[in-house]
This record gives sequence, structure tokens and C-alpha cells, in this order.
Amino acid sequence: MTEVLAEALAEALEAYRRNPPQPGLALDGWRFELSQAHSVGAGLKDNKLGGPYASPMFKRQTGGEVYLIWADGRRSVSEIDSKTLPDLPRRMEIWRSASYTEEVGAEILPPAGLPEVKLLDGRVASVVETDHAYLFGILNRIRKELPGYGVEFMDAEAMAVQSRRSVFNSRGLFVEYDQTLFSFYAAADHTYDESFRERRLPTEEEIAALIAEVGETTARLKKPGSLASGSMPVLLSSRVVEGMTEKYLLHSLAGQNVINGQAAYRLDDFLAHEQVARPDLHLTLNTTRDLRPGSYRCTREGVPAGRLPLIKGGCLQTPLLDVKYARKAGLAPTPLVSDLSGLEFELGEASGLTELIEEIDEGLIVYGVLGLHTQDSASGNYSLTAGQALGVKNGKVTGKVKSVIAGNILENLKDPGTKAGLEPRKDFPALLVRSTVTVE
Amino acid sequence: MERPGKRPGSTRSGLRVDRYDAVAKAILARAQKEGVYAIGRFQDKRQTTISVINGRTDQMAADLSSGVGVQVFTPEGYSGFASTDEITPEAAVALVQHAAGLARASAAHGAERSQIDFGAAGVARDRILPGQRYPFDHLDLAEQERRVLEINRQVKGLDERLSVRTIFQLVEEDWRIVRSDGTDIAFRMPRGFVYHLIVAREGKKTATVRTSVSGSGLELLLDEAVQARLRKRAASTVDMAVNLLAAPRVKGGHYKLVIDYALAKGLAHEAFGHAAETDGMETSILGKDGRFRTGDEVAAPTVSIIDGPLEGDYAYQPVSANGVPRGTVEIVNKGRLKAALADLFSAEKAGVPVTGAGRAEAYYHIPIPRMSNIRIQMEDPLPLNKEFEDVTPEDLYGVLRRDNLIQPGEEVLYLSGYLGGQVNPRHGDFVFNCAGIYTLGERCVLHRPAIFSGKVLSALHAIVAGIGPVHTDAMGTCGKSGQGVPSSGGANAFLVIDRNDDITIGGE
Repeated sequence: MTEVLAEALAEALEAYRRNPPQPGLALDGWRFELSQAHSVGAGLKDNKLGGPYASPMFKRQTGGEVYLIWADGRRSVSEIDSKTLPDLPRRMEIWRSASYTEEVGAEILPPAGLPEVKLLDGRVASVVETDHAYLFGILNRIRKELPGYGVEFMDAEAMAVQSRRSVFNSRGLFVEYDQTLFSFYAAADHTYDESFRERRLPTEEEIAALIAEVGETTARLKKPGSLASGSMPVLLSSRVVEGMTEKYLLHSLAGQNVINGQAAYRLDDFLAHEQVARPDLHLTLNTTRDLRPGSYRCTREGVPAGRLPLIKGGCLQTPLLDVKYARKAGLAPTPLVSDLSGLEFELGEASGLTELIEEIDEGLIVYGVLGLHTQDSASGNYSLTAGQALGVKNGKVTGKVKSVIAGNILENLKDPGTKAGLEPRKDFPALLVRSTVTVE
Repeated sequence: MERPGKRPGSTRSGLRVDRYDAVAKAILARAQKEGVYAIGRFQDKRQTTISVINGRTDQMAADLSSGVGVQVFTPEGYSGFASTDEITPEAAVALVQHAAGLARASAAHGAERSQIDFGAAGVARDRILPGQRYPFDHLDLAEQERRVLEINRQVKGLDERLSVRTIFQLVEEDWRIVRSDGTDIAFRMPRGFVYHLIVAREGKKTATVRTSVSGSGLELLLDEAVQARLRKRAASTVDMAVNLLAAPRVKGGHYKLVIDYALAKGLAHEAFGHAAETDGMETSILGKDGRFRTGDEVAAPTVSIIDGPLEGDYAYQPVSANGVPRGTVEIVNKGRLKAALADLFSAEKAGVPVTGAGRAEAYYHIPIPRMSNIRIQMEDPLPLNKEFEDVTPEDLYGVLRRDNLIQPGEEVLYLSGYLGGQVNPRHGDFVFNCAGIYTLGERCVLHRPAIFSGKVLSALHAIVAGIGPVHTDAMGTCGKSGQGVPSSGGANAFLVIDRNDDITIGGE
């Protein structure tokens, strides 16, 4: 269906390029990305499977983006869906009326060699098509096992998606492939949650480990602890580091923010490979790993997926550049981040979490923060409520402490005292940083 | 160029969703055949967005989107949901079959049975078009772009250290809800905003601030009064951004506070509104054994909290996504809990009347109870002799001294500019952030922003005074359960919050 729709849309747009119905609607180039997805999901809310707020659901959705270069050089960009093709004459007029001029705009790329990346798991497709019982099975397992950890209220959701992605353009790019995505999460007593998100089904061990982690961490977070305010070592969990990487580092690596002066780093800093972090910090984009949610074969503009150092040895390498901002920067376009699992974050030689905790005389382990989305990305400053955190004294966990942590993450990444610790099954390391803690 | 209103695709009612009669009939007919109760939701949205950075257009887009979602309930009380962007009778029939199939499948796996009293809200048949000064197409896009460029260049010109991104968005969203009981109600939600994201830079130091105006549409570009308000807000925000470059951090701890009405909207929304939504009453701090604690004292007798749609407001929604007209709800009346934000699905369980609070971001989402415009209203507020935009921190200090709200040597912080917040309704913890913090005195000193966090009930009890008239145009996007819906609200121009050990400012 998508294949037919995508090909028909390509033909229709090409007709506007070769033989426009009126001169004002003549195209010089076009590209589009179209995806037709089928998904099924089921949920658990306050221990109850289904119900009006967590009804099992089915979704069929066609969506994407079209980018047009008109014969006079103006540009248009718009969302597209299943109704775009039959409505194309009217949409072309609307898009033309919303066209704009750019001194340096994106160009249509010629086809390039694309890497082979495995993005489809037939078992996920089976869940979407027929095996809905698999979703209910995971939720019922969560519902059965979490109370064993003293959990009173459980929320959870499981979802499977199958889609066909088409990326076509007027210079002969015709890429189509099928992909899948499976995700589930479990939350206990509104205190702690964990999630799984891959292009494949989870293994039995992964399901068991996730449920155990939620149950055990929630139990630890229910025991009260104590801590005095002050400057101290704070262990940011993998999840917190992931959130901070997105909020601060990715913001300041995004080409649009760099070129327009809205990032911590300027283009000159990248060109000079400025040292912005410790020499043993490496941040790499890798969008080619099989069955990872952050992987793909090409961006919507046709830039091939790949592996690309963003910060190497603590030095800036390149901003993340779409075609337009690559032209503005005078650099090559890069693959882009579609999911944080596409990032590889390394800091020195990481140790185990237990060893890191044992090193703390008096400090805090932070599992979750409130207010990250309200922070000033470019400055690196943070002031966050650590709602789910454990106090540590003489290397031992004392119990739950609610506090506010404040500092600057960009400075933390320069600090020789910052250490990394590996958490099982996590993409990002936990980081032991120095931070100001105000205990509530 | 301005031109008369033109509404492509609109029907005699003026609502585009009235085109879907055949699909609505197909949904209800198939539901009857399947033996299920159905709620069909049509959404038809058009939107233009203009993004300008540092005096140049970065992107313009005119988008159309539409689709239909169907939620069904079996006679035994099991529910299922299905959605698609194809709005045809055939697709609709398939949706009902999918939703009914999932509902029955869930029964075999131990799903919850809910007996919902669909009759509680009555049958509604109506078409609601809010009054608008300018229709969606009143101004062509080239003229909209010209005006946004001008607005952006004015701000960019205020200081050479600035990078300014300006976004103008105009949305016209039509919804139609049909139900198996004969309800067929449609309504329009027009909205728009002009938003500046401003970064000041000096060497390696940066400071980021934001400001905006919001409303129902093109008045944001066409009305001089709105433009003047945005210019004043932008000028004071730029001042703050530049001064933040060298600003110190505040010392973390507990303080007496003054917050502006946008932050007060954050307090009402995060600290209170979410806890009053009935879908979470089983675990909310405002619930006991799943029932709303009607009558409990939660604030001083001078404090009332109200939620409800206001015509012309950014978050206006006159009817719920379940087809129930939305009421204005006095959640707190003179310090006592009075009513909850309730929808068809959980009002009865929470022991409160249905208020039409169900909202959904899109046709492919399941509605949940949400706020619309929430505001804190103080009895007998202290007078303010200036417009909100003209009040300086020194003016505020003068008001506090005049009315004996600050003692000699007392440290009082003024939190200015709302940057968003978050809440955990079960634990009663909330946080929100501001753009900058002033220590009030004869000479006010600006400090960097710091998180403001606390306990919901402590915060409400600590509100001791309101200053100036009520303002309700603080806009935002509420992200509950992963669905982003427009939200807005406010309070008296400023609120005074007493020092409280449960309310903390994070800092050094």
C-alpha cells in the first residue's frame, strides 16, 4: 500500500517538475519521506489491565514530510499523509502559498550507497498482525511479579509497531524498507519505572531483569534516609545522564543551534576542534547497529546512516548537520540522531556501580529528576529536584533523600574527578559528579 | 495583504468535520452490528508555522491533518480503541471491528470491566464556533511572514549580543464527537502564539530566556495593543538575559517568595490541577479511597482555584473529547475543595459530577481528564498602580513595604518568568522553573534561575496575598501521559508565598 502510494506520489510530483499544469506551480526538485505504520498496544493503569484509559489499541497511520524546491528557487516543507495524493492539486497551491526564500537552502541529494542495517524482526511483525496475546502476557507478568517487591500500584504499557519507510527524491533516490519497533515499560507506586525499546522482542532474561530492577529500586526508594546539604559527590544514574545528554549536549551539537548562536559551542569551536571535555570523553553517533531503535538506512534527506565521532578525546569534531545547515557551515551533511540509542557515550575506564558507590563518603545516588525540560540548555547550568534519590554514607546506601541538585554539566564533563560507572543493559554510563545538594 | 475570510473545505456550519456524515453513520451502524457502544472522534486541523531566526525566515509550513478514532465498550464493560488517518466509511467499519476485537481479546486476558454511565452527561447535539476577530485566512502567508520578520528584527536590534528565534503559529482545529446514544457535537478550537527564544552571549557565557503572547489567532499580528504588550515583554526579557550573563547563583534554601502570574499558573497547574483530575484519584493526594476529598480545607480562606475554558484563550476547548460540554469548575472555593476535573470514565468512581474535562491531543489518543485555563484568584488583592509589564522588581519591593509584607532585613525572592514544571500527584511533589530570581530590596539584585519545588498542600497553605488584577493568558503545553495539549491560566499579577520548610529554592 505504501509502496503504491509512495510511487504514485513520486510520479505526481515528477509531473509538476517535467510538465507543470501552470507556470506558477513548476518544481525544480522534490523529496519526501513517507511511512505507513500499523501498531498495537495494551496498557495497565493502577493495577488494572485495559479499562477506558488504557484500552488495548490499534493504529494505522500514514505520515511523513515533503520538501519542494520551486522553479523560482523558493522552498516549501509540509507534512503529508494518506490523503495527500488524491488532494495533491489543492495541496500544491497551499504549499506554494506557504513557500519562502532562503539564501542558502537545502538541495536535493543524488542517491548514495547506503549501509545494510537490520531493522525488521518478524516476531514483532507477528505481534502486530496476529499475536496480540504477547502484549497481554507481558503486562500480566508485570502485574503478577511486582507485588512480590511490596509494590502497591502498577502502571505499564506494551506496544509493537511495523512500518514501511519510503524515501524518494527527484534525483533518483528510491529507498524502501520495512522496520519494526517493540517497547514496554513498568512503573511502581509512581516512584520508579524502567523501559525496554528495541526493534526486536525482549528476551525472557531482559523482561525478568527489568521487572526485578523496578521492584528492587522502588523498595530501596521507600526506605527513608538522611543527608546534610552541601557540595558532594552525586551519582547520576544512566537514565539521568541520558536525559542530560539530550538536553545539553545534543542541543549544543545541533547544527541549527550552532550556526544561529543558540548553542554552547560556535562553528569556529568545531573547526578548531576545541577541547570542551576531558581527553577521555568520546561521544559518537552510530545509526547502523542492527535492530537498535536509533538505526536507519538514510535520513529523510537521503544522507546515509553511519558512525560519526561528535566529540573525540574531549574535542569537538562536527555539529549534527542536515543538508541546509551543512551548506551554511561549509561542511558535509551528517547522519542525524533519531533516538538516543544511536549515541555511544564513553568516559575513561568505567567501573561497576558498586565500586563507585563504595567510593562515596557522603553523597547521593539520583535515579530520577524533575524539571529537566525547564533548564537552560546552552549554559549547561542545572537546578533540578532529585525526587527519587538515595543518600550514601561511608559507601553504604542509607535510604531515600529528597533534594535539589545544582551545578553545570558542561563543567562536570571537564572535571578530572568525574567518574563513569556501567549499569547493566543501559546505553549510557552512570556518572559520579560533584554537585551542590540542598536537602529538603 | 488582508482579505476577506475564506474557508476552503468548510460546510454550512463552518466546521470542516461536518463533511464526515457518511463516516459517522458507518461507525455507529457497525457498532450496533457488533453489539458495542461507540464513541467516534474526528479531528480536522490546519496549521501554519513561521520560524524566523536573527532576521531571516528559517522555515514556513502550512499543514493539514485529519483522522478518526473509535473507542468501543462491550456490554460486559471491556473497551478497545482504534484509529486511522483515512476517513472513509470502509476504514471506519474496519476501525470498529478492530476496536471490538481488541476489547473482547482483553477480556480473555483478565482486563478490567468498567461500567460507565454514558447517560450521566446527557445527549448533546450542537455546533460551536467561537467568535473570532479575524478568520484563519484573513491575512495571506506572505504578509504574516513580513510581520513576523519585523517583530523578530525589532528584538534582535535591542542588543548586539542576542540571537533571537521567533515562532508564530496559527492553528484551527475542528473536532466532532459522535456516540451510540445519539450525541453528535462539533466544535472549533482556534489558537495561536508568538514566541521568542532569546540567547544572550558574551564570550563563553550564555543565558537563554523566552517570552510570548498567545490568543485565538491573527489578532496577535494585527492588534496594536497585543503588539505593544509583546514589545514590552521582549524588552524586559532581553534586559534580563543580558544581566543574567554575569548574575550569581542564589543560595539554596527556604524563603518568602513573590511569583508572577505565569509562575502562579505553573503552581496552580502543576501543584494542584493535576491532583484534581479524576483519572488519578485512586492515588492522588486529593483523594481518599479513590474519592475526591470534597470539603477538605487545602488553602487559606482567601484562595480560590478555578478551571474552565475562556473564549479567545489559547487553551479554549468548549466540549470534551467524549462529547460532553466543558464546565467551569471551582476546584477550590475559599480554601476548601469543591469540585474535581472529571470525565465520563472516572467521575462516578471519584464521587463527583462529570465536568467535561476529557481532552486528547489527537484523534489517535485516548482522552484523559485535563485542565484548560486554570487560575488562582485571591480575595481582596492588594492594589497595583501599573500595568503588569511595567512593574519593576523595585516597584514590587515598594508594594511589599507599603502593605507590611516585608520586614526590615527580611530576605524575599521574586521569581520571574515561567519556564515549565512537573508534578508527581501521588507524592504531592511539584517543581517549576523561572527565568530569573531577584532579591528584593532598595536595590534589587538579579540571580540565575533555580528550581522551585515543594509539597502541593504546603504551597497552597503558604499563599498569603495577591497583588493586582487577575491575568489568565500564561500559555503552555501540558504533556500528561505523553499527549501535548494547549494549557493556560494565571492568577493575580503577583502572589506572595510565605516562607515554608516544604518549599525549596535550589541553588548554591
